[in-house]
Amino acid sequence: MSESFGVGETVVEFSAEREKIEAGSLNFVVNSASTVAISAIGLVRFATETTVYLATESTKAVANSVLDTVIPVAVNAIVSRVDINGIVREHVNVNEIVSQADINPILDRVPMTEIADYVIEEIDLPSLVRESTGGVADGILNTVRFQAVETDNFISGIVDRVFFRKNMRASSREVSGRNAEF
Amino acid sequence: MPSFSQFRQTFVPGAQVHFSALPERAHSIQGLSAGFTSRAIAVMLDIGLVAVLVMGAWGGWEALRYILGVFYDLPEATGLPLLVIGYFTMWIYWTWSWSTGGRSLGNILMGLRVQTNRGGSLGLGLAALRSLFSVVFALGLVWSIFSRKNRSIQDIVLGTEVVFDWAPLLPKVDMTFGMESKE
Repeated sequence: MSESFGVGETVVEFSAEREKIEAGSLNFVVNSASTVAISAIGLVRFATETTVYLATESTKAVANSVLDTVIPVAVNAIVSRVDINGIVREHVNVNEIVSQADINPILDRVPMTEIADYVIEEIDLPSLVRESTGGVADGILNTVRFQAVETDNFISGIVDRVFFRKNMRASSREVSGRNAEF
Repeated sequence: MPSFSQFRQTFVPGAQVHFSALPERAHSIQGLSAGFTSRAIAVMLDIGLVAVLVMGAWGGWEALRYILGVFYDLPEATGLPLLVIGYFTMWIYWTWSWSTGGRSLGNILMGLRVQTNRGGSLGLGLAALRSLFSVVFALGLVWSIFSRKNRSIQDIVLGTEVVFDWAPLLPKVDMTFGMESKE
């Protein structure tokens, strides 16, 4: 191959070494270009994703706040126009629901002893016990005891009168006071 | 008739629903000093009990002597020795019963209890003293006819008293619902 070169022009000689160098620089350029291109694509993608994310989230937030204000008002407006008790009464089997409920935690909250006290108070258990346990033996015993007490009161009444005592003794005062009621 | 919710509002947690099955008339005299008749009957019941015990033991002893025939060399306990044994038994019995709850059998039947003036129970020493005094000088009880507070001589000297306490023989139902004791 022959080329003509003017005077003063640099003669470019294609040697094997120079060709190698040319190929290396071209490779560098291509690599750099592709890196720049990939970075650019990544940047665009990141920007896009961020924008989309921010847009989505802000939209959600706005929507939520709008719903938070609107829904209660709307639901209240609806519910107040609906007879929920009636619906439950007609369509819900309350007994079945209650039968499935765990009663143990409920019973734990029930004041059992207070209920027991209340029942005892209401049915007047003391008097029932008094009446049912007052057997014949008790009757005789109490009669004897009362007779002794009455005799004491009789004797002490006489003695106290003899000694001109103004106050009766405690037991006779109590019993005679009681007798006046009966 | 209040409803349960009304009852709950007035209910005091830890309050005691307390009652005893005493007859209504007897409520007011519980804890008051008992008079001569009640106490004399109680004493006679006690003496009767001790007499039965001592005579029974004596009879058994004599029967044993008669049957086995091996105790004839021992002196017979009759008359005065038996009376001394009776007094001694009475002393021991009253000491024991007054120091452990303040009631002998006669006291239980007549609904009486021996206690100190402050309402405490008698210790062994005081019970032994009072018991000995009562055994030796039973007539001291007569003073309770004249005493304003139904005191016998023994009571005045030793600072004790005998009060009505009918409950123990009757079923005493103590409906205490421990509201606080949630263990």
